[in-house]
Amino acid sequence: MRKLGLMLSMLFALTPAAASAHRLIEANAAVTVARSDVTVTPTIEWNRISQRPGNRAERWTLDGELLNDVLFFAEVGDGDTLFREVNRREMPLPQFSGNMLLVDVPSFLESSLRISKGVATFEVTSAAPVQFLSHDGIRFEFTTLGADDLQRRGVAQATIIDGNLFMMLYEAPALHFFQRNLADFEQLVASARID
Amino acid sequence: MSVLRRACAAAALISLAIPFAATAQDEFAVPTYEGVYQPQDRDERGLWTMADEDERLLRDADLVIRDPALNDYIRSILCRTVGDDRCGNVRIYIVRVPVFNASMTPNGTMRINTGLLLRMRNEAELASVLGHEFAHFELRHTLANYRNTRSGSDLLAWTAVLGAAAATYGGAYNNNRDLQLAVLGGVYSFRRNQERDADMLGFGYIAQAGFRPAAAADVWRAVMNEADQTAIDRGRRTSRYNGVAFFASHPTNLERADTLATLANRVSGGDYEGRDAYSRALAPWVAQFLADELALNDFGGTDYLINRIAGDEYTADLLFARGELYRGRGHPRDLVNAAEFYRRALDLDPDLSAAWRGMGLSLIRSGELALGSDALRTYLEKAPEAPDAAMLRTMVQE
Repeated sequence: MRKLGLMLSMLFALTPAAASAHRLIEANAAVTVARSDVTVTPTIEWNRISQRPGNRAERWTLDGELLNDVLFFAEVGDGDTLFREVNRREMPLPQFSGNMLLVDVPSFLESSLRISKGVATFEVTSAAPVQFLSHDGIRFEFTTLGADDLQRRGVAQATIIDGNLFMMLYEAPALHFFQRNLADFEQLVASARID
Repeated sequence: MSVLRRACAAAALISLAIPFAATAQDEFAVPTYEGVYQPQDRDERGLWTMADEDERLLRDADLVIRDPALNDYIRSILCRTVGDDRCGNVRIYIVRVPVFNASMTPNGTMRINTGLLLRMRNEAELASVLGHEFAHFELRHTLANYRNTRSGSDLLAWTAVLGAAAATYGGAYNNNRDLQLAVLGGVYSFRRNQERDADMLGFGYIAQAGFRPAAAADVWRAVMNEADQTAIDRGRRTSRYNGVAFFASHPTNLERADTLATLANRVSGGDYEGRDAYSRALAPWVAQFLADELALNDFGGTDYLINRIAGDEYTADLLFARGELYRGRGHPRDLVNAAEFYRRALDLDPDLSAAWRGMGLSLIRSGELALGSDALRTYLEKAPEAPDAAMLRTMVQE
């Protein structure tokens, strides 16, 4: 009985983060992301997860981030990490460097995902030049095998403006979910503007 | 039968506990193999059921490397170490995790990380680790440990479950790479005295199989050195002489290495190392295992690791990995070194086209645009179908 009580109290201790995790993002209204000057205008409703994955990051989802995970990164500068440190002492995250090339962004993301999320494999399947936020950018697609042993597919668009990284990323299970919401992500990317 | 077995086990444990009472020959004697074992009582059956369930998950996991050649080879080393009859009870799962570790569950599931395979230089080193893990299995340490900690283990297990669930679903990024095994983690960690017993029996196997016993101490010294280099590179004190180092449940690595070195001097092992055979078997995998390692953002540790595997003979794969490591850190001096490592890799293996890519990117970041562009152009000629070819083409034109 006492053990049950302890378990329940642990459960409650864990729930507040989950319960207040989402905020509705209205459709057809411009909204700024990642505390920056970047705005996107979604055509469907999204959920914003209020716990920031990193200082310069924001996360949206439709059905939960394990099923469709949209990440915005803005103004990631010299010495910044993409995500919050999980264990700075033993497993520090890689830091962005202003002299990084666009073609280096996929491996920077790989290292960040492996350390912060425990992603087991990460493979870039394509990388091509693209215009993003009215600047020369990179669009790359990748596959991952998560710590939950689930195969996911991802696509990201990034650019470096004045030594700062801007990136939007979508990752979802390869089975069903990735294809289902890919167009919704593409719409977000197409609507992205920077003032 | 079970009484007899218990008596045998007790005798074996006693001989391990008071080594100096026995002659040097008996000290490392490997007990007679008892044949296929089935769990005896409720505790043990429960433990096996959990291990069976765990194995079912592992069996279907995409993380497991199923390449028959690699699996057969690793199995052959285990069988050589512990004997064919013993190794028949073991299922080996090679798991793609770039961390030095191997584990064994009571039902005979042996889990070997690719990070461990990468760190071994020869068959003798691998045999010392596999022999040690098998010794835990033969001595039924999990059961003994389970009985000792059972009162606390329910709570530990639930904490682990809730912790893992929170990490996955709560929105917080967390390191849950061992999610499936998190629940059993508390049960499967061994006690320090059990580690020592397993070391003793492990040496028994190695000696009987004719491997060079000192390889065991080499492995643990390398683990310490690597941890030192990681720490030094990150500008903090090394944990080498701390009370707890690698796993809290294990003896400190320094103590472990010293004990192993002492034991290695006493045991009458052979001098077989099997370096060439090991290099040959691992050759198709080293590049991938190193790539996994490089993503961990551990410059000091990885640089040490590459140097140790290389010894006095750098292969193209190792030079390429070193180039990637230095280019990844990206200080101006690193980029110069990286370009040199790629060049040497290409001297050894002109077909290693990815080295042209690395060299080109290093040179471009160093400001040598023309030379870098040339290197990228060579890469694109050799690998026109590369995933990022379209991206690289724009850099060549500039």
